[in-house]
Amino acid sequence: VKSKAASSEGRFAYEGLDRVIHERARLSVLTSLMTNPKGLTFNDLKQLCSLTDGNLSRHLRVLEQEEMLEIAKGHERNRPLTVCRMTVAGRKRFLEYLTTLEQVVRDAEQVTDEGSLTAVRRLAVSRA
Amino acid sequence: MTSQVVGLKRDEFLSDEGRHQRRLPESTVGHCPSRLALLLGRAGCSLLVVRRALRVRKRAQPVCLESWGANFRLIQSDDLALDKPQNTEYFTMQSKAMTDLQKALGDISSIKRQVARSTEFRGYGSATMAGTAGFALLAALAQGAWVREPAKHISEYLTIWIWTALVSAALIGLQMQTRSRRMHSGLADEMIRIAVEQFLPAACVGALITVVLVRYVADAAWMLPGLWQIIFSLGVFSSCRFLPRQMAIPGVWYLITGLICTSLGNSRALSPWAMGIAFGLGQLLVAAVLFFNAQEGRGEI
Repeated sequence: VKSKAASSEGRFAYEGLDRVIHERARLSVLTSLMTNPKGLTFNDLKQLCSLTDGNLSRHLRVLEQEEMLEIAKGHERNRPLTVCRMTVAGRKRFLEYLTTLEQVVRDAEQVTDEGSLTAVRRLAVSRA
Repeated sequence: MTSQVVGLKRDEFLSDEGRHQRRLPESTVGHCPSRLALLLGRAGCSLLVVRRALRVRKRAQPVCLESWGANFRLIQSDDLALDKPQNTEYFTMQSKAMTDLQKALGDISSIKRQVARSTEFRGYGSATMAGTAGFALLAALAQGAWVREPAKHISEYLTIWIWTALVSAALIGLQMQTRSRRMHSGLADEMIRIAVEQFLPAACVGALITVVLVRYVADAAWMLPGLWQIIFSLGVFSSCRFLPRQMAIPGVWYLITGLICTSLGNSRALSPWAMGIAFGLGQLLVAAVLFFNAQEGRGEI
């Protein structure tokens, strides 16, 4: 058992599960920005993610500090306009996160699936 | 029995389905959640075993079944039935967990698909495209040397150009696999799938129209080069939204050369340079577009 555990050391460490991205609101902000590579305005993001102004600002600040997105503040028709766009590093990090998340779910599914199969086999054997 | 079993803390289990705790008094089911996790987490077990382990009285059983129904699947089947009547029912932790996991996987795939659709495909390399242009020119030279009268030797003509197309496609496919893994990492499979999906219809139509013309309308075989180029241009156009915008230029080139080739109206269309120039220069144009865009978007996913 020890050697088996040693051989699969770190198998379930899931280093790619980034804490910064894992938060639900930030996950939805990043997904919205990933699917709009040219960027989204603050108001669009607010509506897409169903967040309040304060909440969205806070999450955007966290993501900007992590250099996952860039925020451009400008004006359009004399009105302030904030546009958020993912950085290349942010896209890479998000994709790594998605891959790890997929692996987590697949591992969990495999365990559940194996459990069911073993049960059915056990029953068949006991019947025989 | 400890409260932590198969990596599941008792409290976590309860917090997930706290209503079970409320509906089933502790005195009736004992350490219900942790024991149930231990029993069913990996293999499932018979109802009799569950009842004994949880010290649930037989008359409490319907309550448990009703309460756990959302989380555990009850299998009742003749195939699974054991000799003893009380063992004919069988529990396994499944239904909700599996549905949730599959939904989660579906959600992740959907996010990936959306991201892939909005990402420019970088799986085509400019050097490989330039290489296929070289193949086209070599094929034209080979045709000029070995197939002097292509109208009379249509099978030889087809052999040269079909092999050229196959070798080029294999080279592009191979590079697409390796390059996509490097450029798109987690999105590679999705991106390759979309790229193939966009170009495959044109390739299939090209192959089918070749078979039909050669087999049933051999006199119209001179139309093949023009049709190939027009169909290829449609493939390029359909891939355009996934590639740099300038990719429309080679698409227009193939359309024009295809129309010119068709307008020749006779076996002159089978001349080696009708294909050699069209595909040689066309693929060089594709390579140039990819090269200059790769310079601009260096480092992007």
